[in-house]
Amino acid sequence: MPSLTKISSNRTSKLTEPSPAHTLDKVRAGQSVKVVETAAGQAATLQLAQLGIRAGATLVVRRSAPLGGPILVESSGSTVAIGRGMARKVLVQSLE
Amino acid sequence: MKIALVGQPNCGKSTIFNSVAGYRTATGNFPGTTVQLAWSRVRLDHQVADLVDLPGIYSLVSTNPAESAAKKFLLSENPSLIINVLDASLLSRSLELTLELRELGIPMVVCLNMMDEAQRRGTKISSQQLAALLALPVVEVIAYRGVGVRELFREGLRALNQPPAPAEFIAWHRDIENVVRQVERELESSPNAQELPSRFLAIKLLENDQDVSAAPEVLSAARRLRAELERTHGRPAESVVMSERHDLAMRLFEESATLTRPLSDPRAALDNLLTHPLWGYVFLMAILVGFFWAVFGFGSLLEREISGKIGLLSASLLAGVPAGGLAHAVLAGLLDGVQGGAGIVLPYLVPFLFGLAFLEDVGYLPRVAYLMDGLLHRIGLHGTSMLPIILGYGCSVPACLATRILPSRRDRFLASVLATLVPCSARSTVIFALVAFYLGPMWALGIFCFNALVVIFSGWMLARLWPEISPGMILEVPRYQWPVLSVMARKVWMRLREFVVLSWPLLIGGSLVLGLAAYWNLDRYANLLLSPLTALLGLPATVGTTLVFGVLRKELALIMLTQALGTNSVSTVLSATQIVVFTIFITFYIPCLATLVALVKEIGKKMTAFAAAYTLILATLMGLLARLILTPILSR
Repeated sequence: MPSLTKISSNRTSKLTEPSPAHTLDKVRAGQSVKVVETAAGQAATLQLAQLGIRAGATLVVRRSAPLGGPILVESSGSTVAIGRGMARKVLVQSLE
Repeated sequence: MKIALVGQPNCGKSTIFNSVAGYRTATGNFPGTTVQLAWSRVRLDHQVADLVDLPGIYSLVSTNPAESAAKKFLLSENPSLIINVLDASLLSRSLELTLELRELGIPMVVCLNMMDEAQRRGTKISSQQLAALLALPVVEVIAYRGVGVRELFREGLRALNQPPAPAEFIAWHRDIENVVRQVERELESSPNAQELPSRFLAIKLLENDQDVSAAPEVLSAARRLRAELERTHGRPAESVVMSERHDLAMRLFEESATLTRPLSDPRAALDNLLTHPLWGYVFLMAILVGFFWAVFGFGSLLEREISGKIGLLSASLLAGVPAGGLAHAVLAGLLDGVQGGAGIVLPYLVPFLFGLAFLEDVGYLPRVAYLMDGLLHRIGLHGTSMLPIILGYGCSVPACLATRILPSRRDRFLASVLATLVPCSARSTVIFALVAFYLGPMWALGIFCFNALVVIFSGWMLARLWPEISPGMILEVPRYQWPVLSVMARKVWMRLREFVVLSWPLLIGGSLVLGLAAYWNLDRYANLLLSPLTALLGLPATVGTTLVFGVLRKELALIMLTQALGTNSVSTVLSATQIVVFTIFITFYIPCLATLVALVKEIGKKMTAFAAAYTLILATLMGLLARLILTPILSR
């Protein structure tokens, strides 16, 4: 069986993890993070969740565009471009 | 019988649609919206069905006009069968929509498309297992190679008249399940019975979906239960329901798929290059320059071919009518209109639309939006606005219609105004025929660059006139795919139709009006009326008419110019400065009639009037600016 059960277990371990949360726009390309919370508006939160960016999900930041452009993240197989302002509303934790 | 193709964006629905529908497809608007859908009458085993290709949706909670149209179709048009297309390589995410769809109680077949891609990614899916878990037929398909499509429709026909088995077997967590049941009971005891299954309605009411309605007492019960869910779970009820569906999809995925090592994918390296913070932009420039160079190269070849033939044909037709008479004027006007469409616009529009469909289907356009979002956001625009603006270089009409992909009204307005400011293929023809021909290609390039600057400036200014924080970009960037020719052809045809159906008749009508105006010497009054403007721009009064009638057809201004001036060698009558000023004015001022109609459809009358006034002022100012700057340089 695949080891994807970690998504549900992440939700409970979030409280105990010590590493401090920061926003998605600060993450450097190549790093993996776990989403703690999306603090965007209702519609945007929904849209992000539809693309797999929701509390507990693991993301890999692939690229960060210059000039305050969007960041490109990979979440469970799909790639999503998220505007810098929107990324500021996604709270994440680094995964080593 | 209606069969709906439903799936998430980029799941390959259109490829499946095309493989059974061929070219005999029609497009129509959703009732009450401007969102288009494609449908086709297909024959399946002695049964005739209407196959409808709905816009891609991530879930039945809609976030833009196209999505809500797809949802309305499913809720109100009673399709006999849903073919739910899934990208097998994104199985767990796609199953969330499947779970939502099966609540509708409509017979349904699941199409696991892109099985080869899933395998490449190391996902082994047991479709039998998935079918057993979902209690739905599941068919493995590789649509672009035609694998499994026949089987898919055979299974679909078998599933007809068999609504999905009750969904309860896929258990939700007990506390949430209880809440859903309570709402269901309320619905069942309420007098006005609904056509939709009560479980579906109950869930939608808990999600606070505005598209479903219920009796007031049911609504108040649902409100109370929502509040209860929020209290017990510590977050909004819709988010509770959504994660429930997500967990369920995850469980289905785990029980039906196994993960192995993915194969290495050369596309990842390509994408790293094309989204690189430096090389990404170098390639973007190269791709766009190459694209326009190819379009215009190919277009001018076609134009020479077609224009010559049509010119000969219309000359022979006109020879049969006595010159100088009313009949001659009418016929000449009509033929001009036909020729303008077939000989000038189509040769550039068709290669443009093909090139664009290629970039789109390969998956490059979302990368363009990604690369440009930073810059556009500084101006105050949404990164996705780049797509209609690029379309604007082909024809403003499809460009205006393409603004629908933007989520906010303000962004749609800005994008459509800017898209009409970029020179469409008709205006590019004027730039080439006047500026490139008389002053040299570098001058033409200069006009295109100047135009781009003005578009950027206009965007910046209009964004400040309507200050609203543009919702940040959230855009799925699909993996690269080799385009399927038939899908591209259909896309080109659907966009071309908008030109053929909407613009061409107007173009022909406009030419007719022009021909009659010339016949009755109405141009004299137009020239007199416009003399302040022509004087301001330093143009001879005789070009006044050309400017008025350019509204009917932009490239007609060119033909009119030679008519008005009474000579084919424009440079003997107009100075270099005057040629540039004239071209700049034509490029910017009021979009053509066909575009105005499209604008009214998309952004309303008031906004269209504003856009027209804005472009008129802009064209005058820019023409004046060009006159003031160029006069000392060019006139020696």
